Order: sequence, then structure tokens, then C-alpha cells
Amino acid sequence: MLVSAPAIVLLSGPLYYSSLPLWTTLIPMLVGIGIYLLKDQWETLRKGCALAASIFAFIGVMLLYPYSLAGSVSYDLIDFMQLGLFFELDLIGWIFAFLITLIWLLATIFSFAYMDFEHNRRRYYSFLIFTLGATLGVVMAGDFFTLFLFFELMTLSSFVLVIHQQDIPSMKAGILYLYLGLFGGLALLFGILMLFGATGSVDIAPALDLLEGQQTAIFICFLIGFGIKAGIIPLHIWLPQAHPVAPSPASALLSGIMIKAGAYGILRVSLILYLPAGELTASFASYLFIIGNILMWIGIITMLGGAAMALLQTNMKKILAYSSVSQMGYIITGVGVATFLGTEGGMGFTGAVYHVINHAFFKAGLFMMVGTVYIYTHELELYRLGGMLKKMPLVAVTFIVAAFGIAGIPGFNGFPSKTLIHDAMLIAIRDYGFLSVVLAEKIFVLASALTICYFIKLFRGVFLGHVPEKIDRDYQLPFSVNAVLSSFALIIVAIGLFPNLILEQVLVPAAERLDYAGYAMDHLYHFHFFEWQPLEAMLIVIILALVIYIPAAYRGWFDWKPPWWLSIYALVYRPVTHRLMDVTCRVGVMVDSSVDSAYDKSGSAARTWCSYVGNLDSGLDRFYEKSSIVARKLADRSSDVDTKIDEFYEKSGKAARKLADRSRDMDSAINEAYHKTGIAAKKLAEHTSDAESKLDRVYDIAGERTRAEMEKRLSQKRGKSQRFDPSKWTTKNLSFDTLLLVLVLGIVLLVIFYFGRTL
Amino acid sequence: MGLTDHFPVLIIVIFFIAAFLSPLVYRLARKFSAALILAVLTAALGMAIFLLLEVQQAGTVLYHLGGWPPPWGIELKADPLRLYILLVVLSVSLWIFIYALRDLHHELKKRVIGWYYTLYAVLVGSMSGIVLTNDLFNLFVLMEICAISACAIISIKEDRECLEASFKYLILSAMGTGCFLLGVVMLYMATGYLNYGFLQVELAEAFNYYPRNIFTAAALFIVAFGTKAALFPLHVWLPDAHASAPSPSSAMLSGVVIKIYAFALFLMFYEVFPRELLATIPLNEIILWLAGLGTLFGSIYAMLQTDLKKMLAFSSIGQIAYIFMGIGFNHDLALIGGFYHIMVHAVTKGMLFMVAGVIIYSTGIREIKDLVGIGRSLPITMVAFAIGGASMVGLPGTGGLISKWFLALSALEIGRPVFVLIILASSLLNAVYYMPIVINAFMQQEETKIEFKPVPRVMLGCMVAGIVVVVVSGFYTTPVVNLLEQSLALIF
Repeated sequence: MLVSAPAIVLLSGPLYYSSLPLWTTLIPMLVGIGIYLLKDQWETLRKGCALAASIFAFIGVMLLYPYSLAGSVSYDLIDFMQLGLFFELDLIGWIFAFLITLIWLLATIFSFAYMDFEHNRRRYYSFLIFTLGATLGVVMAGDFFTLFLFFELMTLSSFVLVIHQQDIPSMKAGILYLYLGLFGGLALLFGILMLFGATGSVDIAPALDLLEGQQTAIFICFLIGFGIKAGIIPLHIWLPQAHPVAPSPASALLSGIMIKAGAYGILRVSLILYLPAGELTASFASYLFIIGNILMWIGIITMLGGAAMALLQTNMKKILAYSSVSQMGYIITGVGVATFLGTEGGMGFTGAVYHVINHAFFKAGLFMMVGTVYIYTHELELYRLGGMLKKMPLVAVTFIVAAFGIAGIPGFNGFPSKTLIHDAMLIAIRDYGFLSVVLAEKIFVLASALTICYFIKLFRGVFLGHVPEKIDRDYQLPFSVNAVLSSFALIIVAIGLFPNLILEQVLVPAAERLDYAGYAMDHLYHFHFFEWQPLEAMLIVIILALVIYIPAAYRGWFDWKPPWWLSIYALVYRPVTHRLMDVTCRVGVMVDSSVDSAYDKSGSAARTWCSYVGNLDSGLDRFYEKSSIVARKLADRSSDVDTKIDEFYEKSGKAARKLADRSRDMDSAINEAYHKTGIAAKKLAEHTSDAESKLDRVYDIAGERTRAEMEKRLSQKRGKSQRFDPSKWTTKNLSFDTLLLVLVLGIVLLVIFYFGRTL
Repeated sequence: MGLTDHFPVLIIVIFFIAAFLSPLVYRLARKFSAALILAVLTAALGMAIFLLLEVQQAGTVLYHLGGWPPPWGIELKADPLRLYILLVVLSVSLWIFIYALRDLHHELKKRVIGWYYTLYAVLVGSMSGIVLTNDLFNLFVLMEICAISACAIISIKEDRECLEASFKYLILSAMGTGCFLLGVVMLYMATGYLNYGFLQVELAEAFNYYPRNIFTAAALFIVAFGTKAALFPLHVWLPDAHASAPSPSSAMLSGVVIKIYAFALFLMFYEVFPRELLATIPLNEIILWLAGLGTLFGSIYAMLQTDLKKMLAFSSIGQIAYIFMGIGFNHDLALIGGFYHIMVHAVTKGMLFMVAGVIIYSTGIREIKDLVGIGRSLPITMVAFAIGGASMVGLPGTGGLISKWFLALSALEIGRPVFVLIILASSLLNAVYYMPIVINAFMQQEETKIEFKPVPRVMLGCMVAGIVVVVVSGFYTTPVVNLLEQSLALIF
């Protein structure tokens, strides 16, 4: 089944050096910044600048055509951002660049009429033109790093376009867009880093054999990074929210152009980076076969899911947004088929790129047509619209043309690209014939039929039926709107009628660069679109569409609103983001609360410690108290002694009196002597009372001293308890911090001793 | 010896001379006191540039203080890496000082402004010393000076929160220095030297006799510098200190001071301890994981804040962890990333604190939720905030991407893709708290009734200068990266 093919050599052709790619990206960005600095009142100058910048970019890209056709144009700014800014424009890039500048020019002209109804025009024009430069940079980038830079710039600057309305739905959609965009950017950066780590370069060049074991991880990173922008299911959730809320010209650019940047990235990764630089061995071929199959199935699921969701919407811009998701599925399917077919993949590649071109035209056109209806009626809901065919015939006609284009009706531009993708799948069935591709082909047909169904629904809702009273007015469309819408219709018809022109001029040369060969390429040189076989396939699709639409519309199945819990947002994103936020917050709170409890614990430990100190203090108090009691006892006892002395004195007095009584009879001459001893005794008594009062004073002083000492201690204790008041000083924090310090030191020491042991 | 030979010591000394003169000048001739500090900062910057040019031509300069050669004398070393850090320190200090000239009058009492100049000079002088010294004991002394002056420029505001925060900072950094001194003692005990160069030679031999001592010293150093530089679990002092300080002090502390200690740790690991010694124990691993946790938890904590300056302070914890990550990877690309981040984060965080200062100056708002629609009244300020935030997230076109790029590359190079995921996850978390502020500031429809004072032109000019540096460092990286490559080649 799988044969080892010869080494793939990319034919790069001659390399031209020119700074033109740099200027075509830089000038619009500078002009965009310049417009922001203009005054609010200078309406005309602002429009002039915007127009001039987009014309400049268009001319710049057109001037690059001959060089890109022959080889590629490159320019290098080595000192820029460490890895250098490297532009390289080859034919694939040129196709995208051409589309971008052409549609941007048309959208800018359309904005002139549309934005007159809007506020904040200065910011709008400024970011519109800035985003042009950033988007051009994405496709002109010569390496993944440069591509990443412009990709992020594009996300950030287009964010301002998304939230232009600044009401709640647009802010919500914008935030979702921004965060998913940033997440995608980081995934991309991770992928690029791993690529750089593995190969040592970030060039967009075959490198599969250098990736060794990391190829799947890198591929997933790139797929997430670019897939978010491209809106592949299930990464698409921002797209149906963000595209409808932007002003219509901006939605046209978001849906028509900017999501293509994601497709461009996936194309570059899977068709160029994921080729081996050396020989294509069987193992690489089988690996490519697997990732090609996965890509194809992602595309198929996106295609079918987008179409089914579009069918169930009632808001016209939402239908178009889901339709964009679905159409991106076609492109990814083409890329996937091209990836697993190897050298036979020319058909898938050309089909995918062709569909990029076509989708850009009809989807940008459709958004502007719907936008025209919106600015005059201010209605987006289908059931409040109707009958616009009579009121805006030109819009209705161009709408039909674009709808035929997207439905793939022969003669309009969707037909050739869908046919090419379908044929690529047929080749795959022919070569491999396994169930997966057969099934994919059947779903492809079903999705195409559903596309027709939702466009019938959209057209009926907006343009047929009777006109609701509220919007029953006469509408005068300005010339610029008419011109822009007509030119879209003309381009769609022109491509549809002469599908081989673009194929031969740019697509086949681009495919030749990638070294496609074999059956597919032989056919591509002279592809006959208007043959029975492709027409038959289309006829089947149309019949299937009618078979689905008529009974379903009759029974009102399309009005079924899928319950909210069935949406991918409710099924996948909300649980995931909630869980993630939950876990993050829980971890944060857990750490926080454990930090808190550690604070508390260390605080309470500190408090316990303080209370020990307090206890010690009160112990001291008690000691003082006891010592004072002892002192008092001592005092009591000494007063006892006093009374005893008194008694003694008394006794001795009594004895003396007795003696006196006894000797009264005796000599009165001795009376004098008695008298003298009496005086002496009195003196003695006086002396003792003196001593007593002195002792009293000593006791008083001692008491005062102890009281003073105690008061001092008490006040000290009070002061201490004040100092340990946690509301005054944060000692508990400190104790916790010290705890941490000790803990970390302990851990470090532990580790060191553990490892030091083995020395 | 000509005057130019004395430049290494002059860079340090003139700051201390100016510090002593400043109060005198403030008392006698008030007009000139700011000019004095400005002149000193400019002179030091000029000398540093001169030295860098000389060193690039003639190789590393070793200066012996007083002509005494080491190990007895004090040695100063001027190699390209130190001069790069010195240039960052001096130029950011000069820039913040110019901003402070207007902001201080708003935040401080008039009588302390002269003292603020003194403290500022002491702080910058001690940081220059830490960068240039080649001697452990000198480092210890200068670290103490730095810590005290850093505390003082917080507590100079004299309100309760500042006093409390600076008290906490003082005690913890004293503990950090204590750990450091203990480590120095252990090394001195094992070798008998304090000079980096002598230590490195001697340690390789002494290791055979005193392995435990030397390892313990290494552990003590990690804890010491980790505390001072707010490595994740030791960060507890930082949010209060940086959030409550006057805005120029916050800018200085968050922008410059914490990085100096990270750089000192780098010097310990690459110039003091012999490499093969550190290879035997997973010290790098410890730093790496703490840093990895720090990037995530710093951002998570920042997400939960309601006060703008607190949020910025927590964000610093996440950002300093990138620098530690650069040290922990033990790889030259990572070191380039880490040192590039020292420069980028110094400018970015300095600018963000200036923005916070301008918002407080102009409207008095500190709460994040009150910032809705403020972009209308303060356009340049909020553009500066947006660009600073973008640099923190690491969006292309800002310096933040470059440092993350280098760090992520080296993580892949040594086969640790987990850390790339950590870096990217923390970028996304940064986006979660920086972006809503920017979006709310600019994209809100309803008219807000914020009363605001016109912002002085000097302050606006400083922020514009910051914007220019952040953006240019995102685009034109060659000179700095070349300088770093060249100077790291001397070490690796």
C-alpha cells in the first residue's frame, strides 16, 4: 500500500532580494498608527489615508507577482528581535497576500459607507489598516518566528475591531477571542521553541527527519496555535461569537481573510515543514499518512458540524459565521488529503488553496451584503426580516451570486474548488480505497448539501416573503456600496466561468514548487470542470439538498433550537475552564489558607509563649505579695515584742511600786532616790517610745518602698502585655516568616546532607 | 596612577560622600540638593560606561583598595558582567530619581525630602558596592547598609502600614544577613580566605576536609539571598513592603534592589564555589523548583489582589523567579535570559510602579476596580501600563518575550520541557491579570467621573522613556545579548 518514494526536493527557483515585502507590511502599520493620531474631525483625510494605505499594499503585492512567480522574494533584518525578521514571499504566500490586499481594499471602500453609522471611527480605521499590515506580515514571513510575531500582532489588533461595539456581547466575545488567541499564540510559541530546539532553525523548510520523537508534540502545538485561528472544531467557539459582533466590514475581513491565516499556517506546517529533508522513507510516509488522515477528519468534522450549526441559527451573521467554520473544514480537508497522498497530493493542495481564494471572495462579499441590510434595517434576526428583494434588488442579486458560489453551483466560483477537493478524495479512494476516505467522501457530499440548505434558509428569510412594517421604507444605497457588492459578484462569476485561468496562472505553478507529480498533476494542467463527472457530482448534491430541505422546512426542523447544554461550549469548554479555574483557585486558596493557618498557629504559639512570660510575671507578683505578707508578719511580731517590753516595763513599774509601797514605811530620805529612779524609769520609758516610733517610721518606709517596687513591676507587666498585643505589632507574621526561613533552611540542609552522604 | 584607575572605588565612594553632604546642602542651599544627587548618579553612570569600554578592550580590572593586595586588602572587580548589572542599576536609579523629583513632594512631608536624598544615595552606593566587590565580608557590610537604607526609604512615609512593613522587612533581612554571615564564617573557617578568587581555589581543596561545612554554607547562602530577593516561599515580606512604600521607593525596590541579591547569589555559585562541587548536590534543582513555583504562585496571588500596587508587588515575585530560573538552569542561554530579564524587568516594573504613582498622584485611586475608563483621562500613563503589561506577559515587540525565549530555549536544550510549560502557563496567568485592566481602562463606553490633576511633564517623560526602552529591548536585542554572551564566556 505504501511505497517509498524518492526524496522530495522543493524547487525554490531564483531568490530575489528586495525590501518591498518589508515596506508593504510596515507602511500600513505606520499609517494605522498615524491615523490614530489624526483629529476626530478630519474625516476625509482619515478616509484618504486608509484608502491610500490599502491601495499601496495592493500595488506593492502586485509588483511582487513576477518575482514570486519565478522564484521568491526575500528580505532579512538580522538584528531584529534576536532571531531576526525574515521575509520571504513565494507563490503560495503571494496568493494569500494578493487576496488579503484586494479584499482589504474593497472592505475599506465599503467601510466608508458603513462606518458613517458608527461611533469611534478614528480607532476603527486606525486598527483596520494596522491589521492589514500585520496580516500581510503573516503570509510574507519567511520563518516561523516572524510568522508568530505577525500572528500575535494580528490577534491583538483585530481584537479592537471585534469589540468595536463595546456592549456586553461584544466585550464577552472579544475577551474570549483575546484569551483563546493568546493561548493559541503561546501554543504556537511552544511549538516553534521545540522546533528550534530540535533543528536549530525556525525556517519553513522540510524538517521531518530532524524532529526525532518530538514530531507529534510539535504538530499538536502548531495545530492548536493555527487551528484556533482557523476555527477548526472544537477550537472554533470564539468564531461564531466574535465574527457577528464586529462591524460588518470587519466581520468580512475576519471571516474572509484572517481565519485564512490559520489555514495558511496549517498548510505550511503539514505540506512543507512535515516533509523529510532527506529521503522519504516508508516510516515517514506512514507517519504523514496518519497525520494527513487526522487532518482530513478534523476537516470533515468541522465541515459537517459547522454546516449543521449554521442550519439551526436565526441570526444572519451567525449563519455566516458558522458557514465560515464549515468552509474552513473544506480547506483543512483538502490540506489533509494532500498530506497523506504525498506526491499525488497536487489536487488536494490546489483545491484547498483555490477554496481559500473563493471563500475569501464569497464570504467577504456575503458579510458585506448582510451588513448592508443591517445598516439600513438594524435587524439581524431572520424572523424580523423579509422581502428585501424588492427593497434592495441589487443586494439580493449579488447575494444570490455569492450564495451560488458558496453552494458550488456550476458557473460560480465555489464549484471548481469543491470539485478539486472532491476529486482529490476520489483519487485517495482510487489509490487506497479504505473505509475512512469513502466515509469522508460521503460526509463531504452531505455537508455540501447542508450548505445549500442553510443558504436557502438565509435567502428566504432575508429576501423573500413580505416586508415587516417596521422596516418598510425606501432605501437608497450609496454608490460605493453598490460598486463594492457588484465587484464581488463580478469576481465570483468571472472565476466561476473561467476556472482554469487562476488554476493555470498561479495554482499549478505553486503546486509545481511543492514537487507534486503523477496522475493528479497531469490532470491539473488541463482540468475540465464542465464535464459530466463533476457536474453529476454537483447534481447529486443539489438533489440531496432539496430532499433534505423541503420536508425539513415543511416540518419546521430548522427552527429547532439545540439546548444550551448540547453546545460545545457547555460540553467541553465550560467544564474545562471551570475545572481549571477551580483547581487554580483551589490551589491558591489552599496555599493561602495553609499560610493563614500557619500564621495562626505560629501566632498562637507566640501567644502561648507570651502567656508563659506573663505567668512568670504573675509568679513574680505573687512572690512580692508573699514577701510583703512575711514583712507584715515580721512587723506584727516586732509589735508583739514591743508589747512584751511594755509589759516588762509595766511589771518592773509594778515591782518598783511594790518596792515603794514596801519602803513607804521605810525611810522617806530614800524617797529622793526613789524619785530619781522614777525619773530614770520615765526617761527610759520615753526612750523606748521614741524607739518605737522610729521603728514605725522604718516600717512605713519599707512598706512604701515595696509598694513602689510593686507598682513599677505592675506597670512593666502592663507595658509588656501591650507590646504583645497582636493588633499593635505583627509579631505573629514575623514568627511565621522565621518559621519559613527555618523550614527552607532545613529542607536545603536535608537535601544537602542526603546527597552529601554518598560522597 | 591616573584618576581613571580609581573609577571602581570612586563609583561607590562618591555616593557615600554625597549622602553625607546631602542633608547639609538641603539645609543651606535647598535648590542644589537634588542636583547634587543627580550629578553623582550621572557621574557614576559615566564612570561605569567608561569602565565597561575599558574592560571590553583591556580585560577585567581588579582594583586593590589602598594598594593592599588580597587576601589582606579589599578587592573590587570590574568585569563585563558586573558592569552590565552596574549599568542597569545606575541608569534605572537615575531614571527613577528623575521621576521621584516630582512625585516625592506629593507623597512625603517636606522636612524629610532631604533625608530621602541621603538614603537614596546610600542605597545606590551600597548596591554598586555589592555588584563590584570581590570580598565576602565587604559584601556582608554592604548588604547591611543596603537593607537598612531600603527599610528607611519605605518607612520614611511615616504611616502605620509603612512602619509595619519596613519593620518586617528589617527583621527578615536581618535574619537573611545572619544566615549569610554564618555561611561566611563557615567558609572562612574552612579556608581562611574571604576573597572570591582565593576562596574558589582553596575551596576545591578544602572540600575534601570539610564537605559538610561548605555545603552548609551553600545552603545558608541560598536561604539568605532567597530571603532578600524574595524567592517564592521566602517572599512574605515583599508585598507589604513594596506596596506601601512611596511609589519611587517601590519602583526602586521592585525594579532594582531584589535583583542585586539574585546577582549576588549568582556570584556565589559561579565565582565562589567551584563548579564541580555544586554539581554533586542538587542545589540548582532546589532553586529551579522554587523558581518554577514562584512564577506560578506569584501570578496566582497577583490575580487575587484588589490593590494595584499590591498586584504589582506580587507580580514581582513571579518575575524575580524567572531570574532565579536563569541561575538554576546552569546553562549559558538561560543566564543570558535571566540577565536580560534583570534589565527588562527593572525597566518594566519601574515603569509600572511609576504608572501606579501617577495614578495615585493624579486621581488618588489605588483600587483596580476603580480604574475603569481611566485611559481617557491619562492616555500616556495607561499606554505605558499596557506596554508594561505586554512585556510581563511576553508579547512580541517587548523585552519580556526575549528573556522568556532564552529561558525556554535553554530549558529545551537541557531536556526539561516542563519548565517551558511553566513559563508559558505563567505568561497566560500574567495575561489574566494585566489584560483586563488595560481593556477596562480603554474600552469602556460609559463616561467616568474621575477627577484628575494634570500630570507633570517630567513624570510623563519618564514613562515615555520607559516605553521606549521596553519596546526597543524587544526589537533590537543584539548589543545587550552580545555583551552578555561575551561576558558569560569569561565564566563558562
